[in-house]
Amino acid sequence: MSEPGRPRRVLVVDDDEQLRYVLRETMTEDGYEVEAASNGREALTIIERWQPDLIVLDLMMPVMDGETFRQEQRRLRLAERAPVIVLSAAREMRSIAERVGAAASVPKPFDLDDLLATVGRLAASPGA
Amino acid sequence: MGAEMAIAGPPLAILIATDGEADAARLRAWLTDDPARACQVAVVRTGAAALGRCRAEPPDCLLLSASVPDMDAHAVLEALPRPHDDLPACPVVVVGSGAARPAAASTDRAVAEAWVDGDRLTPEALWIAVRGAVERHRLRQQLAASQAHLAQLTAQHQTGTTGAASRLRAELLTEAGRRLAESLEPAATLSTVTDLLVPALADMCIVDLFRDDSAVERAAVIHADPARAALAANLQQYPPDLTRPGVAEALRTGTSDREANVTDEMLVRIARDDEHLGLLRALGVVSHMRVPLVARGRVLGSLLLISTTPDRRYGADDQKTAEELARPCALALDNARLHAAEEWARQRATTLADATRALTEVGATPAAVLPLVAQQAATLVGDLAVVRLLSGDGRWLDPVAVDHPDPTVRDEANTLLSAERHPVEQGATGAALRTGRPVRVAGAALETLRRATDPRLWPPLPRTPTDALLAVPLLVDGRGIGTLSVSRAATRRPYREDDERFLQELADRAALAIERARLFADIQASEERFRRIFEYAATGIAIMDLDGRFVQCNPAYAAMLGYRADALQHVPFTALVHPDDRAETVAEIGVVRTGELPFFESECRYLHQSGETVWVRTFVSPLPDRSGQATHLVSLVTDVTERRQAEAERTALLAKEQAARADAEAAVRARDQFLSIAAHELRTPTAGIKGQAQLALRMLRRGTSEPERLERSMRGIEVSADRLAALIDDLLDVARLQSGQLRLRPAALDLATLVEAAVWRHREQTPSDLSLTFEQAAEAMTVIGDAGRLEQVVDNLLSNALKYSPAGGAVRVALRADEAAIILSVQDDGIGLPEGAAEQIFRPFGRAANATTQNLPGMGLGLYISRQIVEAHGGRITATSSGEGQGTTFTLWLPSSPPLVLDDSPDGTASRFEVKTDEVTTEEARV
Repeated sequence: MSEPGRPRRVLVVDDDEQLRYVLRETMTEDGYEVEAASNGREALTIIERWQPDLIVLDLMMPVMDGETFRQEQRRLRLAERAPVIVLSAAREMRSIAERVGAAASVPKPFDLDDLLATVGRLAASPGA
Repeated sequence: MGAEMAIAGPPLAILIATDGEADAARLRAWLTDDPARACQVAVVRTGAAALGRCRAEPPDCLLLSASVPDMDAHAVLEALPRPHDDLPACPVVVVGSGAARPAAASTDRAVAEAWVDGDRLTPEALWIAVRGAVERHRLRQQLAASQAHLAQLTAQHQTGTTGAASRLRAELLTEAGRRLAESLEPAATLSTVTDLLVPALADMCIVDLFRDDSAVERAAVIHADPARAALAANLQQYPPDLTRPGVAEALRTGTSDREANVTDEMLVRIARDDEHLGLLRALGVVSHMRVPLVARGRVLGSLLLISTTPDRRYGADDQKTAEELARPCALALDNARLHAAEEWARQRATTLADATRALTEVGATPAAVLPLVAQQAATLVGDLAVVRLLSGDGRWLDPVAVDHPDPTVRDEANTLLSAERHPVEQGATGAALRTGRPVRVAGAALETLRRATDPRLWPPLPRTPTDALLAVPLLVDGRGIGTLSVSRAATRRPYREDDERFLQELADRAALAIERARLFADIQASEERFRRIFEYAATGIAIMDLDGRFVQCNPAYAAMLGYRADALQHVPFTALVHPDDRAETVAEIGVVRTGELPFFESECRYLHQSGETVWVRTFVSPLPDRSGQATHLVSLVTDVTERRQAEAERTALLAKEQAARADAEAAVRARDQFLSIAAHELRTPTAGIKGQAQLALRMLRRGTSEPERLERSMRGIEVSADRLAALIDDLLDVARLQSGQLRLRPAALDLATLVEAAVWRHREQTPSDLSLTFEQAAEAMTVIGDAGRLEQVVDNLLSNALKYSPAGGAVRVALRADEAAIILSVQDDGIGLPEGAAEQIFRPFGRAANATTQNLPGMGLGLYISRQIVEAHGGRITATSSGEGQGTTFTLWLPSSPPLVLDDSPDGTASRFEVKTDEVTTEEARV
């Protein structure tokens, strides 16, 4: 449901301040409109007013973790079409990513260019 | 023998003299109950009264109690009116007791007609005594009358004729009357008569008597000349043949006959055969006369008087004298026979009573009973007696007891008969069993039977040939269980109906006794069986009264609880029950006693005499009496202590195994979780470092001219690297702790100084809106410990307190000591602890929920490491909180150092100082 000509919107959800900074900086540079949240609860507050085209989601976070965020997101029918890239240091990342219906998963630590390539691919072809 | 004893005419009038109420009632009943014996009975209480009645109107018989008051029996007998020649007005039967039988003297006027033992008296014996007394009294009266008549005749002879012969006869008659009056024995009576006749009236005298079976028996042959007596005795073989006319007519007609001159022709006619004739000729019979013996209208026999003296030829006077003599003689004979018959009947009745007693004695076995039965049958009926019992298969009668009055015959018969099985289908004995009725055979019928049956049933018994046979069944409830039979030779009289009755009565008593004996044996065996079950059962069995007191318990029961079986009698069972189970057990017994439940089964604890607990399984049920009313309780008890112990051990083992497995699983899970978290925690700062580095590189590649952004990335790298380094330190500590490799370098140190330094260090970094205070006692707080590690713990506690404190909060640190420990407390008014978190926070990565939700940084390893360090020092650390938002207090105890001057006390205190010199590992210190 993207509007042509409007910059692609990416929501970054991660409890690590360093990563939020790095992703916001690089993706903004690459022309994305970026919002960042430090946990699921903050992310829900953001998507109530701001429709992302893509969500980069950490799993293990305080207050509300990634999986709970996805459940709430579905329950509240918020940004349902935005594809999700799971970005996590958790060992069970792949299985959780599958469970939460992620389009891609990237283990931490990650290569910035690889991540941006994935972001670019998924943001270019908005959710089916 | 066995004279007719039926009494015709009106019922007998009996007077009973006794002061015993019950005795009178008993005697009256016995004399009136049986219609055949219906007597008119009157009762008086005293001897004087009895005497008065006898004087006024003599009864047919006086039944006099030996212990009658007022006048005793003897006095009454003495004083009885005697209208006829010393004969009392009525016969008297004295009812005595045991040894009180009076000594009888024939000349004593006080002799009774009969004496009976009141203690052993039966209706039958009483009747025999009364009936016999009445009958004999009547005979005596007749005899007395006859004597009076003889006396009269004698007087006539003496006055009429003066011849020597007449005088002799007169004397003879007088003497006969005197002697006969006293004779009570049939044999004695006969010899009394013959002694008088020979040689006074005859050279030979032959007495012929009718037997019961109407045959004539030659009872006596007397010869005056002893030299010819043997020859005369041969006539014994030739009793008169009544089928031949003209022979012994007197026996048939009852009138005497006489032959003054016996001719040879006559002898030829009389003689049965040549030998008989030769005998008669040899004896030289000159004259003879036969006078019948008649009493009570019956011909009993005859006296045959023979003269072998040529000048003694009998004339009418002789015949008359003989007739006069024969009359009292017949009466006396009849009297004697009656007396003998009565004696015999009484003996049988007494025997039956004795037999009943003996046979029904408790504990009498068939083996003891049956020979007694055979012996009584052999003695009282005669001669050979055999008891046979039905075999188990019901096909045979097996001899079990054989008896005969003659021991030689008995042994012979025993040998021949005892192995001989008698088939039930055959013979008189078989018939008695099959029909349940007596079988009595003799003569031709017996011969027919003998021919019709197996010869083996008739073993040759030369001394006691079976010419008469009487067999009666042994019946129990109408079912034949055996037979009792008697047999005898033809020389003895055949069996009569009274023999049959007597034998059947004996058999009935024997059958009853056998059945009783069998039942008794069964009961004994059964009792023995149950007693053995009780004695030898592995299960404890106790019988209690309804109040729960032991009546009896078996050895197993007593042994289970360490007592002797008899020691528990009357003890309430509750005394043996474990106090904790007592109330419940009493309730259970109550439920059974009231019948609410038919039984109660439970497991509970009893107390052994030693005081040990015995686990038992009990089964309590009521023990009803015959009416079904519970009178006792039965408790079956099994020791289940071992089973209980085994179960408990198994359960404990299982629990231990489960716990061990759960521990192992938890350990594996914890390690997995730890690794997961640790990996995550390591990767996160690594990702930060890598991201910042790549961002910085991107900026450099693009030739950015914004040094602030570069610097920011570099600082980010530094923060993440620091975090990573701290994390790695913590993880290494954890790894050492978990593998027991954390090394402590213990030394005496002053904890107060250490804490104070830490407080100063933290105060430098404390935001101005937080207060950090330290309160300490004046003295030094010496502990033995690793300074670096304890510093780490104190730092951790202080940084936590500051981290979780809200703005404007206060952290209060206090240090104090008690006898054994130095106590450090760090109190904040921060976020507090949710319920259940006080312990959780000391586990690896065990951060409290409110710490993570409020997004406060921390890895959750600091408190875990701190606790491990404190415990390695022999101390402990806990956290308390009133709840979320209520602040938290951490308290640390460390054992205070002992005095610095060491003594050599061997109580182990010295060992605690080894830590001063040696490094200890966490593993060792924890032990």
